[in-house]
Amino acid sequence: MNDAVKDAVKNRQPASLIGQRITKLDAPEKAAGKTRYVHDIHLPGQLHAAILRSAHVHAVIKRIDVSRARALPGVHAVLTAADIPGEHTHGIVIPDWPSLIGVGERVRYVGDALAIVAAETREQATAALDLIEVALEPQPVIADPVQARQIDSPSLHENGNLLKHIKVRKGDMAQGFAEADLILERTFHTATTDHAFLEPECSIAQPTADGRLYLYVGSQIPYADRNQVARALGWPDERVRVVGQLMGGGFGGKEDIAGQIHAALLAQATGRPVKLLYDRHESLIAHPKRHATQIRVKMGARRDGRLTAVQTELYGDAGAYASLSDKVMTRATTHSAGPYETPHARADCYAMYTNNPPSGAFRGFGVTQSAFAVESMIDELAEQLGIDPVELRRRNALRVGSVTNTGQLLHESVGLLECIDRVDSEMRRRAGNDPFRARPTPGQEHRVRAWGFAAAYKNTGLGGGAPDRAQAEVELYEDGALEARVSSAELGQGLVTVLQMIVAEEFQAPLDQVRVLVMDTDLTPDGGPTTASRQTFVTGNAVLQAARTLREGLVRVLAERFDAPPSQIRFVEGLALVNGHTAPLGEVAAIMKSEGHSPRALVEYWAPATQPLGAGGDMHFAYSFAAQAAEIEVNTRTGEVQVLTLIAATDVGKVLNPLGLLGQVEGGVMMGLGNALTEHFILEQGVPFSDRLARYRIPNITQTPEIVVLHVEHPASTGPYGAKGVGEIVSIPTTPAITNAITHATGVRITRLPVDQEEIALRGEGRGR
Amino acid sequence: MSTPAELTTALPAEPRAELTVPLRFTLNGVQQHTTAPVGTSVLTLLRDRLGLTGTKYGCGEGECGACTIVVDGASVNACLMFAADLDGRSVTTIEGLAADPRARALREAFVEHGAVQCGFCTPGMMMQATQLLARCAQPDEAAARAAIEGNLCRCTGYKKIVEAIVAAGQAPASEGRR
Ligand code: FES
Ligand code: FES
Repeated sequence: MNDAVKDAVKNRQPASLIGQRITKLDAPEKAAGKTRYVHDIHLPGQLHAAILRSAHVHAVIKRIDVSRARALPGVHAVLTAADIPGEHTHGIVIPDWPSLIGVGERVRYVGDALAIVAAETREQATAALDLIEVALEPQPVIADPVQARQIDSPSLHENGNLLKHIKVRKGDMAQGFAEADLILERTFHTATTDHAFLEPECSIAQPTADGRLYLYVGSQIPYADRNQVARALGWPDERVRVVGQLMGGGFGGKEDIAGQIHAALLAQATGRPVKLLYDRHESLIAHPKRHATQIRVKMGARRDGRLTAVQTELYGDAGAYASLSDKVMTRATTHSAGPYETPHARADCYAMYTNNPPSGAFRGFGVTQSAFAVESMIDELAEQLGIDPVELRRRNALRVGSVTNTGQLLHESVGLLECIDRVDSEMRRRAGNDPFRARPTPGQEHRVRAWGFAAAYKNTGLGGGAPDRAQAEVELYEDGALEARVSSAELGQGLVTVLQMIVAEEFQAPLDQVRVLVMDTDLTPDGGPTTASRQTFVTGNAVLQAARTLREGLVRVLAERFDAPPSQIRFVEGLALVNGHTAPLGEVAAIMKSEGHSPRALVEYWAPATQPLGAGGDMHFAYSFAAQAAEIEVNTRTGEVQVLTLIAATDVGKVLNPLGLLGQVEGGVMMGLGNALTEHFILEQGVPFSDRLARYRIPNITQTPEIVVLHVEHPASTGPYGAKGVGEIVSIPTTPAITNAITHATGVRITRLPVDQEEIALRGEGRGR
Repeated sequence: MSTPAELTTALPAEPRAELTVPLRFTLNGVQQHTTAPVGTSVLTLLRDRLGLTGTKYGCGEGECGACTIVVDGASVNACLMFAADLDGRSVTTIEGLAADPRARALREAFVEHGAVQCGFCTPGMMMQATQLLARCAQPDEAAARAAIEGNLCRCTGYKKIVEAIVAAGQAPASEGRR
């Protein structure tokens, strides 16, 4: 390197990558169609699996005869519950979900598996299913959570149908309602919905020569998969290696274990690699859903709009097995007073087992449902009090110094008021001062437009006293490459890009010098589940600490080698600058090695401690906040609703990568839009009608409105560079912003999701103006 | 997935002799001679028999567009077309776009504009977008939106995909060619 270059490098101020628009690390391969998903893997000698599912909603199994299926040419194994060597049940929170239902046991939903087959071809495996004879005794069906709680309902599980009663208590409800000038009460219903990630589930289990099993799968929690598969096989965890693959979307739907156990059992039995691909029908029927809920809200306020009391009662349809219902419904419950301060709050939630498909994690994690209910009530309250709905929210909004309904004092990073103000001024800039008034389209009086508004908050991280930690390792190689290793999952949300940026930032190295390895339980340390909007915060912090630990190691070695004070050592453009010397990072790695140090750092990061619900104090270490406004047009003749504009402001603490954030906001908004208008996983007495994409409508391009994205940054002091979670909050206010707009346009109150557009046409008649 | 034969005696499975048909067609510019079982879809032929896995399976029933390919200049859902019907036709898949300058501009725009998240819809979107640029070198937003109406994306909200397609039409490479 010549002197001029050296000087240039020396005088360069480190440029921060944080906050810059960085394109996705894995996007070029994906755009070329070269990315390998699990279904694209073909192992030599691989067999194909098929699963015999119950198709009965609730029944006791009397007999299963697989002998004829076993005899079919091409079939290598047919397994039933009796063939499972290890544990028979799985489950992330409560292991109550049988991998296969045995004779004498009970099927509790149509997706329950009775037998699994491995054959040379998929066709043979499927043909074998038809030869399995099953005798069963149908049982009465529990189709909804309210029915499940009735005293004469049959019990679906040993301890009855109540999975959990979740309680929030703050203040004194009698006093709160006595202080109110106005009390409103209303009941809301939300539908079962599906993630409809574009890639159906696929797993491949491969026995290895040294007696282990490799599992190729797209999973949001690789270490939990490893543990659950190992338990089913009756093996120690380490004998299983999960080799996680990039996923075609997850959104919470790839947290519960799916075909992994079945593929593993068949591979163990046959000694051959086994691929298990769900077709879309099977994917829709089998995997956990978003909880259908019934939510009653009773809200009291003073004439000036200040809330005095909020009481809610929630029923959550947990479906056949526990999955993550405990956690999801807890989040629904604790967020059911909205992002507002109220002196008196009470919430009771009954998470109930039913004979519907299990409900589990889905972006928003319960808060999607309760936000719809509470934001609808807030709007009605504003109308009845004659207060502008934005102003009413402002008066009650959580701010620094507020105490939440669970007793948490918010001491920093509460950007809700700024979100509300930013969205409000953008809305009024476009719509004038009366955005919530219905405006018929001139010349087409049956087309009516109006705006609607909603706000929300959502925790970052597990919270509730759960230890929230992640391990991460960062290594420097002699070729100058830096590598971050975490088991966390890349579902398309862009985690690997954020981690790449963090390492590059800490070493002031070019982005392309940093690679990120994820989701491999042999090669990457445990980063915990990819859920609860926690990866940027928790794994981000872990990688940040690992990078800093490694950098300090380099500084120590360089200081000694060049006899320089550590404070004089800088990193610029992939080089270390010390005492006028310039050393490429690769050389520093070599120096470290020659001195017996290994150029890598493994850390375990622990997020700030949280308290369990009921204990008061910090139930969560951070919250993200959002406000959104939607302008819609209703065709009052047909009831058809089109969203025209959506303004979204989100307090994410600190914007790490605006391009990635935009993608999260726009995608999240469209999910919220689908949740409002079209998405309904229809079940009739436990039997899915929505068993094909044609019967489960996710939004397409024709429904995409103009989306205006505003970033709000109230840093969280413990977040990486101040950042907190973003994945879920962006989708939560969308639904109530849209439904509130519909009410403003038509006068019809929306109490049930998705919006019944025909009903709007009928009930809105006469207000067609 | 299947339903148990409840309390019934199922018919013995006749090991069906696979009925296959010979096929000649052009795949990404290369002449193919192969055979395919009668009921096989083009998607299965491409993915399982020819090893071209860039074309994705998302639903198998024409709802998602993840399997979009181009046959004789028209975009088609590969899951809905019988392989036997390919005889004598010309097929382009995502793998065939590697050297196409319009596709290169699109790939760059998709990356640059954040149009790719999980990437599972991306090959189908790329096929539609390349088709559009072949018809209309500088599509406006309305044209870009119309082009991807049959393709679902669960991650991006579509906005960035539309932006990327419009931008690719404006890119110097495609302007130079007009
Ligand atoms: S797989 Fe062909 S349209 Fe979905
Ligand atoms: S990027 Fe995931 S479906 Fe489009």
